[in-house]
Amino acid sequence: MIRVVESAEVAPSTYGWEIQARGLRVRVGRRTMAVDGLDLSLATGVHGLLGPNGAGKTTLLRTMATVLRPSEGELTLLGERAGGADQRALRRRIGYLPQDFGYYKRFTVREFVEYMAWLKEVPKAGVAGAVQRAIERVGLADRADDRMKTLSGGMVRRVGIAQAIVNDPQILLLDEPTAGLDPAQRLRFRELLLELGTDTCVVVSTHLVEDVAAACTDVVLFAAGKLVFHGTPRELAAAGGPEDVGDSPAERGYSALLNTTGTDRASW
Amino acid sequence: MSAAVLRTEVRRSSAFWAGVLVPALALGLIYGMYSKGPWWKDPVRWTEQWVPMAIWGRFLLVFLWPLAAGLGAALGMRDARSGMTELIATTARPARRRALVTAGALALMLSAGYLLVAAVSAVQIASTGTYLTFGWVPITLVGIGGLVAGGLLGMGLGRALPSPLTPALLSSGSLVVVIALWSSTATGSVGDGFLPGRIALLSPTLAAPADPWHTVAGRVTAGQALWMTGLAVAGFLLVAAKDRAARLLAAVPAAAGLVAALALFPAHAALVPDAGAAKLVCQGAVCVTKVHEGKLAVLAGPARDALRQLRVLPGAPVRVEETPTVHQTESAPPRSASAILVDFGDFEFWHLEGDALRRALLAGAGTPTCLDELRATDARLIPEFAARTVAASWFDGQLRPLRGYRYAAAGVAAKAQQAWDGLQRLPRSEQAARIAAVRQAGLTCQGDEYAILTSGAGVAR
Repeated sequence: MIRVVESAEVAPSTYGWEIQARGLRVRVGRRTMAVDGLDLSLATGVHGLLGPNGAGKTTLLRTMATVLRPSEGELTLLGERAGGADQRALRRRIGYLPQDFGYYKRFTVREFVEYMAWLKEVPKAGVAGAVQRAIERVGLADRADDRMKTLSGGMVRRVGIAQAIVNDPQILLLDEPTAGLDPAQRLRFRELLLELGTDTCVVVSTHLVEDVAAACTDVVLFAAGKLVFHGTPRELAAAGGPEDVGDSPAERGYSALLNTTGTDRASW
Repeated sequence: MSAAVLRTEVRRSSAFWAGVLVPALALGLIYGMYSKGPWWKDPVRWTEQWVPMAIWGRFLLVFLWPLAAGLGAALGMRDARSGMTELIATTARPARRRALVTAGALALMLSAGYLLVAAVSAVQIASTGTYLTFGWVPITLVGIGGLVAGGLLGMGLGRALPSPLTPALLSSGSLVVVIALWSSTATGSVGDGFLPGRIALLSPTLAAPADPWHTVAGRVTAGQALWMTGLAVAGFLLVAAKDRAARLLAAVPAAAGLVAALALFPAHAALVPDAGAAKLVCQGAVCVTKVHEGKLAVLAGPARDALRQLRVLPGAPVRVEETPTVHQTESAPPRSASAILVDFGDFEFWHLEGDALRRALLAGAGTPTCLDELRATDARLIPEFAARTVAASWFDGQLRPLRGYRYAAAGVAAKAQQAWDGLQRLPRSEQAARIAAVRQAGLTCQGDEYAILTSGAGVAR
């Protein structure tokens, strides 16, 4: 399929990392520092953001999506500082699937994705093609003209992914994208991630360690607002031993890095 | 692309329902309430004249305005209710541009709905209306602006307070406010004079038209246009507002509109005479107002015959003229020695033509009744109607009932027969003298017409 290629896409990048955090702190509410001093550099590829509940994964993604402003430190996205006065140009190049993905129930799938493309300021001439391509990539072409309210939970999630990628973002932030997807869809989704990771910096937040092991080029392990581990899935697996909790090498590595013991697991 | 998004919003948001429900409610009220709705007011029928049509449209805003506010609130709440706020906040398109398209869809559909209602009436007026004026255009535009302002204000408030109760509370609240404002402008209503006239004019509604010879004062329309524009801009600013400071800013255009409107509004009388509508159009000695030019053909023949028959009386009238005023039920209608005055809205002339119309003109020997027809008791009305029937019949030499008195027919017929028989026994000259005296009593409202016919009381000798 032919699509419009913007000059910004082919211009050589002037930054080393798509996402770079230095001493990043993000406050949520009055007291909680949900991200507490993060140094992290992410380039093109698929980055799995792992961590227990309440680790600050969602807060970190929301900050990267320009919903929240950094309280301290610095977050640079595509060479631009996040939280600045005018983030319009930056936002055009970000795709985001929030954890609680809301949608207009009476829109059709195509209308909804088209509406999001308009909000993301996709150039007019390219909208129809971009929308069709995004819907096809999530496997919803046959439901494109159905109303959103007729879709199952998994299909809604896939529309969420479609709207996130409709503007061919350079940074793609997906918060729990596999929630509600059945096993076959999850496998298809992993393929899509690998495909996207070739030219996009994808950050996927998830609880599912095996998703990360299968589809990510590297793993960011996050706990209590701090970075615990950053490495390849292979390195994650190597961190665990037979004595650690888990059903797969990656899970055992995850447990080992978070220092989880069998008794802790039982008390969750 | 904006056009495609606008089309989606029109089809999929509550803007769509605005386009359906506004004409459905309006036309339902018009055609469903009575056989002709409140549109029974014959001289100001909704489908007869341009200016009354526009004023009826504004009257309907009593019901349409709360509907628009409620639908607007539902649309304003949509992002919060569907959990889209966060996702939208991360997109590049400025909030104002986004708000413009959604608010534009609502405004478009509300306007289309209002115009559709006006169009249903306009096609009928275009074929029968005789007084072509563009005075209805500003009145209708203010109506559209008022409806849009209601919708946008509702949308802004719905966005600021996205509670499921907001649309219902806003609709019912604005219904109360609009009715309170409207009833204090409607003559004879319980709220008449409850609020100062200037405050009452802040309502987008207008009282139902009382006659087709008045139009809305230019200062009223201009003031209301500014006020509604202020409200619409305030609503839009609320929709596009990012924070509390921006919401407070919305008060500025609303206040500016309010001040400008109050400065422009006249202290009294929102309606002014429409000289063009009241201009007399004549065929010989028979004249009607421009708005009723179509009735001239019906009136001219019977009127000429009635004038000719009346010539047997001294001081007979020489003209038949429509009066450009509506008969106030609290008082007797106007009268003239030189002309028979016709009020097509009066039940004595109601839808009459030909012979029945001629005889209605001859009633009371060419004079209107002196009684307040709605308040006088039967004890006074029946002899009066009988006397007027006998006087009309005398010119034909045959007693026949008058169509306008059908509701009191039994009582009137017996009484009229009695007077008629008595009159027939008198010499012709005495008969003529008594009929002339009845006419005199009708012109001066002195003396009892029935007593004059039966006993000759007050007949000039």
